[in-house]
Amino acid sequence: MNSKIIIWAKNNLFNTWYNAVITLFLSYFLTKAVRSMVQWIFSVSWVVIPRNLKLILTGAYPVDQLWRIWFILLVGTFLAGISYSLLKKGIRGTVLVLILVPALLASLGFSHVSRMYLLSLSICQVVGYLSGKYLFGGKAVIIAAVGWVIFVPFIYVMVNGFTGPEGFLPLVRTNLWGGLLLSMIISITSIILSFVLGLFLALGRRSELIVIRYFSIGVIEIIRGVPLITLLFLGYLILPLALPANITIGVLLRAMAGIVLFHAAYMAENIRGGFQGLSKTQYEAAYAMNFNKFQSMVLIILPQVIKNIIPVLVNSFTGMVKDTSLISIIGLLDLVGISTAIAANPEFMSDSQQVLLFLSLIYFILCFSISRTSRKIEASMNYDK
Amino acid sequence: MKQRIMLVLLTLLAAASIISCGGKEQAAAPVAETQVVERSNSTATLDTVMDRGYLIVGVNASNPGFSYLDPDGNYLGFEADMGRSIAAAVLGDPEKVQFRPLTSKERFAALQSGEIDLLIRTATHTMTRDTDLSLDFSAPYYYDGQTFMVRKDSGIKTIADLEGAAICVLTGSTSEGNLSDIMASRNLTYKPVLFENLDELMGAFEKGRADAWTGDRSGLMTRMRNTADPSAYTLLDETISKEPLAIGVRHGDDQWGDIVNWSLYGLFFAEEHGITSANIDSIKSSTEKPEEQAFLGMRSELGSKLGLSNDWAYNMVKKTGNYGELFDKHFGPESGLSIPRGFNKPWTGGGLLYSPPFR
Amino acid sequence: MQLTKLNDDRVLRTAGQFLFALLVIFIVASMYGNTITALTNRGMLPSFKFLSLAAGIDIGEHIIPFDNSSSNFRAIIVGLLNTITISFIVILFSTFLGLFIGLCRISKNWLVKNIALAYIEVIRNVPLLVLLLFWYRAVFMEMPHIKKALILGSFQSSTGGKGGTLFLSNRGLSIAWLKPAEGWTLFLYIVAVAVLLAVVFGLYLRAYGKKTGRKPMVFLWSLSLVVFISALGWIILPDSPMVMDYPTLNGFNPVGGLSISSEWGSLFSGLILYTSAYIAEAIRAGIQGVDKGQVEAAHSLGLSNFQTIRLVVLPQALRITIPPLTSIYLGVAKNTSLGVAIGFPDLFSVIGTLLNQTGRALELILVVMTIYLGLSLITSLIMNIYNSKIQLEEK
Repeated sequence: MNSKIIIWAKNNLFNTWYNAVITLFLSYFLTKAVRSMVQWIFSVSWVVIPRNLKLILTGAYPVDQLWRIWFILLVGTFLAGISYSLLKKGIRGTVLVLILVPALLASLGFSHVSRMYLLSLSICQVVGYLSGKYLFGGKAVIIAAVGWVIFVPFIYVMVNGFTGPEGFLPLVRTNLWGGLLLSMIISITSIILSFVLGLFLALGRRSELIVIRYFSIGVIEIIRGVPLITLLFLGYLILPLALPANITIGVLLRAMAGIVLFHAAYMAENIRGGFQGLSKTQYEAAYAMNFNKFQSMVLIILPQVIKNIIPVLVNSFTGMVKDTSLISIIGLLDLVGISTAIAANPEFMSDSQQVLLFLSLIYFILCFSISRTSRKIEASMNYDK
Repeated sequence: MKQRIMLVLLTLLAAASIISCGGKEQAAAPVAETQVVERSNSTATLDTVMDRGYLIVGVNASNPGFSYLDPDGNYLGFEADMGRSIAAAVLGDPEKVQFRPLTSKERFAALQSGEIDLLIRTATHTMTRDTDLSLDFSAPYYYDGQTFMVRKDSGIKTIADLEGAAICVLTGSTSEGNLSDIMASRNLTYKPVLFENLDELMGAFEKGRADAWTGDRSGLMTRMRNTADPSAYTLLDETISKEPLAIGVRHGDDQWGDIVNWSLYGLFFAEEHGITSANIDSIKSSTEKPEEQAFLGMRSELGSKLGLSNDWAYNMVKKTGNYGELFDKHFGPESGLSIPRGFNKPWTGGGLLYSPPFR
Repeated sequence: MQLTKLNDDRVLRTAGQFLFALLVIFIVASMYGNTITALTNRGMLPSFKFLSLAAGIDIGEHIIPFDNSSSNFRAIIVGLLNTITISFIVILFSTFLGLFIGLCRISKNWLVKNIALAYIEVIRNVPLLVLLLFWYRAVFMEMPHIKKALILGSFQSSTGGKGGTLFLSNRGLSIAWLKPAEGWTLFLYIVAVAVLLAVVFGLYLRAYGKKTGRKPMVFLWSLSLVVFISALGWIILPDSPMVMDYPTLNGFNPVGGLSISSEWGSLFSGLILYTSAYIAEAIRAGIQGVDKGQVEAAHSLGLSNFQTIRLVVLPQALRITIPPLTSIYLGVAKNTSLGVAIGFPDLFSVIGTLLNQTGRALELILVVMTIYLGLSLITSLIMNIYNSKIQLEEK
C-alpha cells in the first residue's frame, strides 16, 4: 500500500528534477493559501448567512406561503427518485449524495419545520426510487416523462398561485419573488424557451426560403453582437414603449424576454453546429425512404442532431444560470441583488465577503453539477459508439 | 461577413430614420398635447388602483432609514411607510400595497411605463424632471440638501479643501451633476468615483477609496450612523444644493396627483394639530374646530372630492400615524439614527411643512 | 403533372415568404409606431440633438480630455475608448495566461495539472458578475488605505510630498512610468526607420525561405531588428527620449506616473481570470486535438522538440483553437459592460449615466447597440482574416 503511493508520487510528482522542484514549490504555496483561507473562515462571523437564509433562498416571498416552495421540491425529488430507478449504473454515488445532503442538512440548526421538510425530501427520493422500481414497473418511464413535462408549468402555478388572498393558493406577485428561487425560475424558463426559439432560428437559418433565412440570420447575428445587458435594458426601457398602451408586462417577464432572446441566438448556433455535423447520407437515406421534407426532418434528422449536441446544450445551461445574475443590474432581487440588499442592512454591513462567498458556492454547485452531467452524457455517448 | 456588414448598415439606417423623425419635433407638438389628454382620460390611476385592490409603489430596496428590506423580506423605512399611508388613504388599509425595488436609473421609466402608481424613492423635484420626463411631483415630503461627508482627520473643512480629492457619488442621482457643476464653477479638480448602488459606495468609502462622499444630507447622516466608527466622520457645513424630495406621479393624471398631494398635506396637518394615531379617536369625538372636523370627515365631504371615502384622512393617520410619528419612528433617536428634523417640521415650529387649509 | 406540382410548390413558397415578410414588417412597424406615439405623449420625440449638448458630468477615467462642459457625444467616445482599451489589454494578457494554464492542464505533473483544472472549473462555474464584485469588494477594497499605502522605492520629493516607484492602496496602483522627453521626436524617426528596415528584411527572409524551402522565423527576426536598432538609437541620442515619471503623494492622491484605479484593476483582473479559464480550455482542446502520430512523425523526421512544437504541433493546434478563440475574444468586449456594476466608466456605464441625465433611452440604446455590433464586426473581421491565413490550403 505504502509503496504504491510512493510509486505513484514518483511517477506523477517527482518524475524529473524540475517537476520535483515545481511540486515542492506548489505544495508550499498551496498549504500556505489553504491555511490562510481556513484562518479567515474561522476569524469572521458567519451569522449573516443563517440570519438571511430565507432572503437568500426566496427573497421577499411571503413566509406563510413557503410551504409551496417545499411542496415543489418534494414533488421534484419524488420525480427524481423515479428517474433514478430508470437509469443504469454509474450514478449511484450522485444519487446517494442527493439523498444524504437534505438528511444531513436536517441535522443542522434549522427550525423544526424546515428539518421535517428536509427529511421528507430524502424520504421522497427513496419512495420515488422504490415505487419506480417495484410499483410502476414498465410504466415508470411514462410516469417520469409525463411528470417532468408537467413539472415546469406546475412550478409556475405553485409559485405564482391563482386564488384571492383567502383561497387555497393566494396570488404571490412576481415582485416578491427573489433570491435563489427567482434565479432558478429564470434559469429554467430560459433553458426551455431559448431551446425552442433557438431551434426555430436554426431551422430558419438553414431554410431555402430566402426571406426566412435572412430574417433568422439577422436576428441571430444582431443578438450575438451585443452584450446581454443591452438586451435587458432594451426589454426594460423600450419594450413597454413598443407595446400598445393598454398592454403592460411585468418587469420580470421583460427581463426574461431579454435573456431568452439572447440565449436563443447562441442556442441556434449550437443547433446549427449539430446540423453541420450530421452526415449528408442521412438526408439522402431519408429521401430514399420516400419521406417528405417535414417527415425526414422530424423523424430522422432532428433526433440525431439533438442527440449529438446534448453535451453542448447541457454545457450552455451553465451559461444561462450564470447570466441570470445580470438581472440584478436592472434592480431585480435575484441572488446577487439580494446580496446587495443584505449589505444595506446596518447589522450586516461589513459581511459582504461572506455573502459573496456563499453566493459563489451556490452558483458553483449549480453550474458544476450541470457541467459534470454534460461530461457524463458525453462520455456515455462516446462509449455507445 | 457581408451579412454582418449589412446588419450594421441596417441599424444605422434605423438610427437615421429616427433622427429624421426627430427633425419634425416642432410640427408634431400640437398633436402630442391632444394625445396626452386622451391618454390620461383613458387610464386614470385611481380607477386602476381601485380595480386592482392595492397600490404599487416604487421604492429603494437598500436605503437604511428611507426604505430597505428586512431579513423576512418586508420593506421598512420612512418612504415605505409613506407608501402605506397613501394606501390607507386610498384603500383604507395600509397593507394593501406592493413595493417594487427600483434602481435610481430605472425609477422614472418605471413610473412612465405605468409599472408603478407612485414613486417614493428619494427623487429630487427638479424642473427638467418635471417638464422633460413628463412627471409630476407632489409637495416635498423631505427637505434635503447636498453636502459632503469626510473623515474628521482628513483636515477637510470646506469645499475648497477638496482640490485633488477623490469623491464618491451615486450615479444616476442629481448629486452627480451638482458635484460636477460646483467643482467646475469653483475651478477645482477632483476624481469622481461612481457607484451604481449605495452599499457598494459605502463599503468603498469606509475603506478609504475616496476622500469625500457627496449626497443628500439625510442619506449621508443615516449612513454615517451605520459606519463602523461614526465618530470618525463629519459632514461639511456647506450645502451645495436644494434637494426637495417629492413623490413622483405621471403627468396628466390630475386627480391622482391631488390624492397624493392631499394625503401628504394630511400627514402635515395632523402633526400641526397634534392629531396622532393614539389620540385620533378621542379628538374625533371631542374636537370643536371646524377644520379638524372637516379633516376627519365629519363635516364637509372632502374625501369624495378626491374620489375617496370621507374618512380617508382618519384612516391614514389612525393606521400609520402623522408626519411627526413617521419621522420619529424612522429617523428619531429610537431608530438609532437621530437625524435632526431641520426644515422637516411644521411651519408653526419654524419648519417648512405647511399644509394648505382643509376646507 | 409533375410540372404543376412544382409550380404549386413554388407559388406556395413565395406566398408564404411574402406573408412572413409582411408579418414581420407589420410587427416592427406597429412596435415602432407605438414607441413613437408613447414618446410623443411624453413630449420626447426621438432626436439625436442631445448628443451635442453639454453632458454636465465628470468621468473618472478618460483617455481624451473631458470635463463638465464636454458634449454627450464626447462622453460616449470616452466610454468607447475605455471599453476598447481595457478589452484589448485583457485579450492580450488573458491569452498569455490562458496559454500558460492550458499548458499546465496537460502537464505530466499531477499537482500542476490538477491545480490548473481546479482553477478552470471554479472560474467557469461562477458568474463573472460575482467574480468582479469579489475582486472589487474582497480584494481591491481590502488593500491598505492611501495613508498606509504600500510604497516601493520611496523617497522625499522636491515638492515636499512622498515619492516612490510604486504606490499600492485601495485607490489603485501608481507606478513610475516613462514620459516622453526632449529627444522623443527624434527617437520616433529612428524607430520608423527601424520598422522600414525590418519590413524589407522580413520580405527578403520570406523570399529566401521560399527559395530554399526552409522556414525561417520571419517575424521574430524582424522584431529583433526593430528592437536592436531602437535600443541603439536610445543609447546614441544625446537627449534621453523618455524620462521616468515618478508618482508622488502630495495631497489626497498620488500624482504622476501611470495610475490604475481600483475599478479598472478589478475589471481587468476579473476579466482576465474569467477569460483565461476559457482560453485555457480552448488551447488544451487544440493541443490535444493534434494527432499523436504527427508528433512521432516529426520526431522520426529528425526535428528537434522545439521544431516539432513550432512547425508541427502549434500550427495544427492553432487551426482548431482559432474559431473558439474568436468567440471568446468577442465575448471580452461585451463582458466589459459588466464594469457598470463596479463603477468603471466603460461604454455601457457612460451610456447608463447619460440615460439618466437626459432620459433619451431609445436613442442611447440604439447608439450602444450599433457600437457593439460594429466592434464585434471589426473583431470577427480581423479574426476571420487570420483564420483564413492559417487554415489548410485545400488543393
